[in-house]
Amino acid sequence: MDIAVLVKASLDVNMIKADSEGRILLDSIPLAISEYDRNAVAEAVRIKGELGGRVVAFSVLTWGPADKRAKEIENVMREALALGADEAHVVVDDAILPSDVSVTAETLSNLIKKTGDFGLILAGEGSMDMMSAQLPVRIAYKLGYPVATFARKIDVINGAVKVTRDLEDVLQVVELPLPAVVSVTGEINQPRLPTLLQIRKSFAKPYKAYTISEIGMDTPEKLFPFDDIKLVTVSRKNMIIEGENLEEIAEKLIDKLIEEGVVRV
Amino acid sequence: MSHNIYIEHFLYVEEIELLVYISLILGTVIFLYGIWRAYNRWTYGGERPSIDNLGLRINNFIKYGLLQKKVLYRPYEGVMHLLIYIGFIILLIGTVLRALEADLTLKLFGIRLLTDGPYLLFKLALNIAGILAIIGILMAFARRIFFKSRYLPNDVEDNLILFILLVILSTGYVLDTISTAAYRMDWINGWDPVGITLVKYFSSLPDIQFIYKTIWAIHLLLAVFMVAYLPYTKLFHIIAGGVLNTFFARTYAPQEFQPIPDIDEVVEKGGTPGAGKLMDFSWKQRLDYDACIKCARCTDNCPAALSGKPLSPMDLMLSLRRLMDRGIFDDELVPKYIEDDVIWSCVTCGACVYQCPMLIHHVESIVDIRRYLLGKGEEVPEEVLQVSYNLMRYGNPMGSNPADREQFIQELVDETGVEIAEGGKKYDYIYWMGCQTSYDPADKTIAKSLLKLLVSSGLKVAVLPEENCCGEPARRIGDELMFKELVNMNKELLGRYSFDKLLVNCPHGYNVFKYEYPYFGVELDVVHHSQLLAELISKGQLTGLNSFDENVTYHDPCYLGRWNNVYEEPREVIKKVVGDKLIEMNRSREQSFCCGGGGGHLFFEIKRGERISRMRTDEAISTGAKRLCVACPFCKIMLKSEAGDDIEVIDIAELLDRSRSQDAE
Repeated sequence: MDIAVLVKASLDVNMIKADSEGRILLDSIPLAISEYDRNAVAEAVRIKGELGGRVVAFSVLTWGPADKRAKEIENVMREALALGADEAHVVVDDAILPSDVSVTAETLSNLIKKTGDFGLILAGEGSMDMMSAQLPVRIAYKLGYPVATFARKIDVINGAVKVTRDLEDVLQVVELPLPAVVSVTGEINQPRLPTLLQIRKSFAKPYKAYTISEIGMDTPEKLFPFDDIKLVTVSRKNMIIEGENLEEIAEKLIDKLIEEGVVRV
Repeated sequence: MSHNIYIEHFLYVEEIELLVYISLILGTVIFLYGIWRAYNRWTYGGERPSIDNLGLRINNFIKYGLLQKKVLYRPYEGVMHLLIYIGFIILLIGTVLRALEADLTLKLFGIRLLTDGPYLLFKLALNIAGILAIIGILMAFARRIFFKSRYLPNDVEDNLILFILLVILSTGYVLDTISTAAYRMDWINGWDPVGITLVKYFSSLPDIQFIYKTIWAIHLLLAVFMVAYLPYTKLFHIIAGGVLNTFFARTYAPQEFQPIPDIDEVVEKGGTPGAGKLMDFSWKQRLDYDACIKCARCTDNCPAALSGKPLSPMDLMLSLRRLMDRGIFDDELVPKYIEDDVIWSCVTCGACVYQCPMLIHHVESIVDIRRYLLGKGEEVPEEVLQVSYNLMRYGNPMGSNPADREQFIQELVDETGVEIAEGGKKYDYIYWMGCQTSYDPADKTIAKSLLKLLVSSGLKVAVLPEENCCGEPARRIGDELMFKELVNMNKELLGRYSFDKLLVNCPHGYNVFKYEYPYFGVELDVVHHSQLLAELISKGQLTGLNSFDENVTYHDPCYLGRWNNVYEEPREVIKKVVGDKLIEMNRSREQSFCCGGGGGHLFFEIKRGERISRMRTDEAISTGAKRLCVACPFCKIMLKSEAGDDIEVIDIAELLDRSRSQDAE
């Protein structure tokens, strides 16, 4: 069974830059692999190890400009390849930039359909820059597949996938027939970090970039205005809790959290 | 030609004379096989020794092999070894001379070498040599019995060898004494002090010829046995260590970790650089493993071992030697034969390399294994992979946002008046702050203090608008590919500016820029801030310094002190403001004990045993000093995190700055 895994080249939230008025300088923030997508790749590689097949990584460049970012998205996909994906396909086109989640879903589903048949489509629960968590559902809708989100455990058994969903208060176990779309949480596994050497070696694996016309898409209507994103500065209280032992420290911390209204009793 | 005095060869033992030749032939075969085996295992895979730099090599052989500079560095062990060494060299020369005469010159040409005067000298020299060697061996036994160092192995082989040597020496004296008793010649008295002293015990023994014959055979067979098995025992250090490892010693400085010239090609072909198997090491590294004499000076001084981590540099060398014994050249070393934590415990402080009398470079082999593990991404602590990943993504090992540095640079400009470097302008110094000083709140203050001092003394110094990691952590954790990338980026970066010297306050940067960048075509004149501050003080260019009336101590950073020999300058800086209130710790200068932050350990921890930083901080506190001065941002972080309120950890630049800004007590 071949597995598609969706990987986003997100804005690196650790490298946010803003001008003196707090406007975020989108173009000067580098792209990085979205955190939970690494879990998705690792999970796909794990399932491949059990069932065989290929793991194909897909992405769409959502932050422009395309000429500057083309190399960055390739680096992100090389990371997915270094983690064990077998090939990578991306769409890089100024016509969809900056892309919102609906355009991205449209583009990705076209790209996936064009590339092959996949028994399972995995994605991170949300991207680290936008965190709308809508994409897996939108993709499922467009492809006509069932979807399960927030998976912390996946078992593929006899043409179906059993998913343990993490719904904060409860765990919910659902079973979907394949093909299906599943989004995974950070708890599903502990993805290893790729080394530069592994990334270098991943250059031997196929990587292909398309324009939207190459995947048979017209220029979509842009919906999301991106020119007004501002930095919100959160001031931290910087309290250091000290105590004789762990229990005492924990007690004091809990008291403080209740006092601040973070935790309700 | 007739002589008054000469040797009657094989007296009393004519009928077993054949034993000499049989045992010698057998012994030689065993010995030569051992040498052949060793040469083959060193050159396994086809690499051959090269004899470039012959002058330097001969010099190293004389200095470290013949004259044993590093052995003598420890007084007791040095004298002990010297006595055995000199004793046996004289005995060897004597025995060879005697054999030459008996079997060559006398038989073929009827010429005797040891007659009259020369014979008497021979007799006396051998008498003295035997005594020297016996004293040395007794000292060795005494050391093993009464004051063995913590990690000195003390197994059967170690003791048996000493014992056999003692038996060979004493039987030699017995033979000497019996022949003295037999001849009863007065003229020999002064030349045979031991024989004369012991003769009274032997003159009245019954059947002395039989006793002589037996002891002669024992003496002969044991001596031949020891030589024959020399390549198979620790005595092989004489050849592998004393002769070969000193002659073939690395001709580069030990702090210059070597690049992998064909690394891109290796990766291109899908290979992994570094040493994953025994056969990946160079022939010289494998010679290192055979050179080890098990003196444990490395392990006795290793902060990892002393803090209870699984690394023992000596045992690592011996494990690799045992793998050579077993012929396991093509199996992966980690984790089957060597535990991964052993490799990751090393703080690359260089204490082992400094201590080793055989010039073994333990750290080089460790880094080579790390290179392989990191390349594979297996058996590597998660935090190490994180360091590697951070370097790739953020250009610094902590994963800090470079925008924070830009902000800090602006702060420095505002507070100290330093310039931001511009292309086209010429500077005396470009100050390379390094990652820790750029990002870590505990170290940022060093940059502020240093720049205040420098700007006020009128130096033309500038900071860089941007910096990448210098690559030192990458190299020490084995990420050679990343190191190369960083060097190339920094080469391009530094190439944009015009300056005389590169100033650093981090000894790790100092070492890497000074010794490791030149391999990539980057030649820089690097200065550590302790050197510059000491120079400014001696020239009177730093004014307004007040003195502190309080005790301070100083921690030698491994990469400034032991690896780079900068001991005086930081002390001059400290003494300028505290005078004679600088108290040394028990372990200082060459003996300095790592803060625990080297070899990438600032960013990860092997959670076994004690923390090295704790041990070092306790040592500093025990001096009673109020302040612990450091000259390295790594040391500052490691020691400060343990110090609490017990002692103030302060960089030497901060100490000077503090003395100016406040009225010292």
